[in-house]
Amino acid sequence: MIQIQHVSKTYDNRSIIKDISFQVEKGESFGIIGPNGSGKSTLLKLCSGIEKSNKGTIQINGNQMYTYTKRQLAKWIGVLQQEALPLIGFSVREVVEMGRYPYQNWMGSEKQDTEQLITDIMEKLEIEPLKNRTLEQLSGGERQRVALGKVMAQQPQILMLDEPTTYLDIGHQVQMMDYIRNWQTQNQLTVISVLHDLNLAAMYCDRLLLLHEGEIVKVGTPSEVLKSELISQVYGTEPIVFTHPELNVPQLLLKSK
Amino acid sequence: MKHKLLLWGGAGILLLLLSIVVSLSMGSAHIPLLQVWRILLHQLPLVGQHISVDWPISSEKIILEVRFPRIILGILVGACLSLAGTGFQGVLRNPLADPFTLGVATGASVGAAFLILFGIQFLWLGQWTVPIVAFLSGILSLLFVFKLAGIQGKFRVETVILSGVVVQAFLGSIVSFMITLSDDVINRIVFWLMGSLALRGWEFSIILFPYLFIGFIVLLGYGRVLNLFALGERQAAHLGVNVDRSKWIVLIFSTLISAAAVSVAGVIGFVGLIVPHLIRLLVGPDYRLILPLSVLFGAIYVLWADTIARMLLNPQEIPLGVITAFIGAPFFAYLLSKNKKMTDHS
Repeated sequence: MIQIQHVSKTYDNRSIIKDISFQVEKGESFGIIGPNGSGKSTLLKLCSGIEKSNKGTIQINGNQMYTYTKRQLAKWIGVLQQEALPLIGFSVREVVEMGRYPYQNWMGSEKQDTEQLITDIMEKLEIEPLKNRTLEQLSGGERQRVALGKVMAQQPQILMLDEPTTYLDIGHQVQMMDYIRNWQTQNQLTVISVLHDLNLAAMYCDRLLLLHEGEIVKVGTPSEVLKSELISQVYGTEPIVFTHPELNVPQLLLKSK
Repeated sequence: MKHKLLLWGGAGILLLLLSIVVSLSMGSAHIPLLQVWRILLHQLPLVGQHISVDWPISSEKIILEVRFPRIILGILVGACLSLAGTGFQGVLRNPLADPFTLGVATGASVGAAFLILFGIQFLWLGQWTVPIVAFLSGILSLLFVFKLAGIQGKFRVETVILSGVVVQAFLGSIVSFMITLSDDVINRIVFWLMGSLALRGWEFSIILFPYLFIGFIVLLGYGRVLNLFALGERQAAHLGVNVDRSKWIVLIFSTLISAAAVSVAGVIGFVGLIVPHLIRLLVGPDYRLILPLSVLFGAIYVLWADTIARMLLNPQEIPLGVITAFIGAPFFAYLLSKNKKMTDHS
């Protein structure tokens, strides 16, 4: 679905991403992890096309990324950002409808009627009762769900998540990740997420990419990547790794030095 | 959305038409309202022939050759300033952005003041010399503002207002210096600075109209993009908006529209700042509504401000810029505090 080959990125002669290659298959959930400043967010910006790489190529569905127009790309790739939506006076429904932008002509209309699509999305995310409220009147968790609703209305083939749960409590974190997983399994969606929380990453990703100083340390299943010695080598702290009793994936406990 | 647009747009158009007729009947020569209607209807094809001429020819001349062109020019200037203000505020996502805070008006003033100071305001092109030079110097100064705010071809929205204020202060000091140098008893530079629609015939409206018309169509096409900008530039980019190109197009058209308005009417402050805000308070943040309604209500605002300017101390005229700011600022303060109370309660 998306193929990254020998991609590098430098800012002011500082090399942020160094010769990275990997590929993600259709329907897969792929996680990018790594410490602060390892280049995770930059890598995601390159994959989503809002930053250009200095070297290397990125292919979406077999075609070079630069052959897509911005609008075409927006039909393929949707991005859910870390920052909550700003406090502005648009209603919940209006914001979800904004996700249709890449499909609209310059008059703002579309070939098919999308009323039902928007309503279905809002019901799925349980924001339908809030539809006439404005963003200022929502809690942080609700606002992030509206942001997800907007991305769902965009109907992308690939969803990219940039630490979408950073400002949420644990209840809302799990709720958010479950919504995304349901969407993924129902629509064969490809998901690439940058996650800060390694336990969440282990629970929700099929494969992980561990990034350190712009280079790939390891790509593999969560149990291949989340190993005590690799984590301590990259993060500088040695965790206790054990297996989740229900999900059978690795989970980490921290210990102080 | 469409419902709201029809409601407010319909109300706005009615109010505008009514304002035109009422304002036409006001002036030093008294012409009754009914007669104004009849004179206007008489001009229309088909309907016109059924209306018998029972008014003195002087009334018709006053209405059609003195008051009407001035009123139409006022409407166009108001619509332009308010449309440009909406564009600037939408792209820069800053409520303080308008043709004046960004330095267009001061830039235009430098050009005009220079010509007036050296007494060459009618050189080369007659009555067009001041507007053309003001137009060019206004655009140049805004380009300089963007250049100052830009880093490698991209400009940061936060720094645009700041550079605008800096450039404006610098150019303002040049204008003040030229005012000091000129020793007229009635300072013509000061008068130009305060804005006026007096003694400008149909030609000025004909010049201004294409700017308004084309600018309006283009900006309206960017209404949805401005809505997405409100969510943040990155959000807009992820939805397939060409962020840099959209920013430049909206800014360039807003600049052209405001420079055109300032160059024919002088500095008429507060319209571009206040009208878009007012509309936003009334109908919400959707630019597909704000853009057309700003045009309508900006027109009505300047039309009434100019009517007051020519009527209040009749036969003496008050500069239009004085009226727009004097009414605008307190009214705005009132709306702001009222709106704040409403959101506090809910």
